[in-house]
Amino acid sequence: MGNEELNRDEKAIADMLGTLPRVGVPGDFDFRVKARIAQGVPAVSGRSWLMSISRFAVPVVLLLVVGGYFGYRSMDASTHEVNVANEAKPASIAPIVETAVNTASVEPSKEVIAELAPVKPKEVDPAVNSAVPNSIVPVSNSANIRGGSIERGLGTSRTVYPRGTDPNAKPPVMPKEFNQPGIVSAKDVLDLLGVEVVYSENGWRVAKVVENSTAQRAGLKTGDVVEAINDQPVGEKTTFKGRLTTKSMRVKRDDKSVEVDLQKP
Amino acid sequence: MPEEKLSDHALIEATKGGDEAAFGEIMARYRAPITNYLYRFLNDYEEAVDLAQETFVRVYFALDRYHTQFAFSTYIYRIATNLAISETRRRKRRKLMSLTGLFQTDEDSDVEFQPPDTRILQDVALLDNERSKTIAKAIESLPEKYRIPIILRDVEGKTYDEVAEIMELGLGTTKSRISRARGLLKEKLKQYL
Repeated sequence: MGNEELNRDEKAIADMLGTLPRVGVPGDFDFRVKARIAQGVPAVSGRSWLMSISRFAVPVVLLLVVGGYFGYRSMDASTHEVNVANEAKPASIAPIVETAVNTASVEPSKEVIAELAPVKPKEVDPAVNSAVPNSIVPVSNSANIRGGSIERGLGTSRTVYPRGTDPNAKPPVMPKEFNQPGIVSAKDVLDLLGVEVVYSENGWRVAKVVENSTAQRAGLKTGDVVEAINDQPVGEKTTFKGRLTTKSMRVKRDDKSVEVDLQKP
Repeated sequence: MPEEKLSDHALIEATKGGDEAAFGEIMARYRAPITNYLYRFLNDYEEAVDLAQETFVRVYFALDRYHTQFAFSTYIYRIATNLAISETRRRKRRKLMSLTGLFQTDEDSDVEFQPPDTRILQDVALLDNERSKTIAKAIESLPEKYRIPIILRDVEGKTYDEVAEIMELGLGTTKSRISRARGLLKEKLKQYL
């Protein structure tokens, strides 16, 4: 019964659709088709999916580019501020030289290494000293020791400076020689080895050998004339540049050249 | 040339050989049914004519790829169907991106289908016209997968086998969809039953 009713309704629908009036075609139908064929390109193919995608993609890409640019700028600015703050600490300039010299002269090692540290700057810009106030800039207070609230986290970021730096200070002025390799004279090298020398017309003459020094262990004696260090002839104005490891020394003793091993234990 | 006696395949071969009159004969045979089919699919005459013309352009440029093992009528209806589906989707995208489309929900679009005015009219022609419009709207409101087979079967008079071949579906699926489409139309057109 139900199927019969359904079939009857279906047939009624089919008949109804079959009675719909049929549309004709305009008189210039064939002409227009031939004109399109003559053009050679199907008209609808121009409406490609690429066009519809580009309508979305172009604004999105533009938004990303602009947003990315400003985001990068803001990140770059904050990074720059932190770097400036870190660089505003000139306190580490002087102690490097002092440490190197003191260590070598007081306690000479078996293998004397002349640390040719950067030359101590002659004078530092007064602005540098003023850039490092003694007061400590607080980076936190008791209210936010355990972290900030969500509102604070979502708010404008605050640049945190290391303690003891003034965010408003000008960056220190580096002395010109600061990054240049150090230069040390032959006399200084001999001093570090533990010999007191006096320059005579024949060369650097050993006036005194320091007790328990590298020079004493190597067998240097008063009256020796230093001819070369590491096979490099030594004169009055001889200097050494960069890192120097003293391995051997040639001295003139009793009109004879004697090779002295400075690495003797 | 006794064109009326030539088969579609013979006309295609003649067209490939440069016979423009043969292609004119193909157009003469199919322009009206294809236009009518597209009109019932899109419910837009101008668009139907445009796509029907485009169908013949596609057929012309694809003649070398056409295999005569398939019926030409199936082939041309398949091209027209694909174009109509593309056009329908393009309309949806256009609607989605238009300002009015942004604020229009699916429920609003359903409102487009208006039930028939049941008042008695004196003018029979007007009544028929109204009825046709209502049926056309009801067909247009069907989903594509039901709209295509029912138009091909009940409007264009294709056999189930032909419909299945055009839609590249199994026979059972095709019959099921046609039946389902009729069921949906029955709900929308119960005033006329």
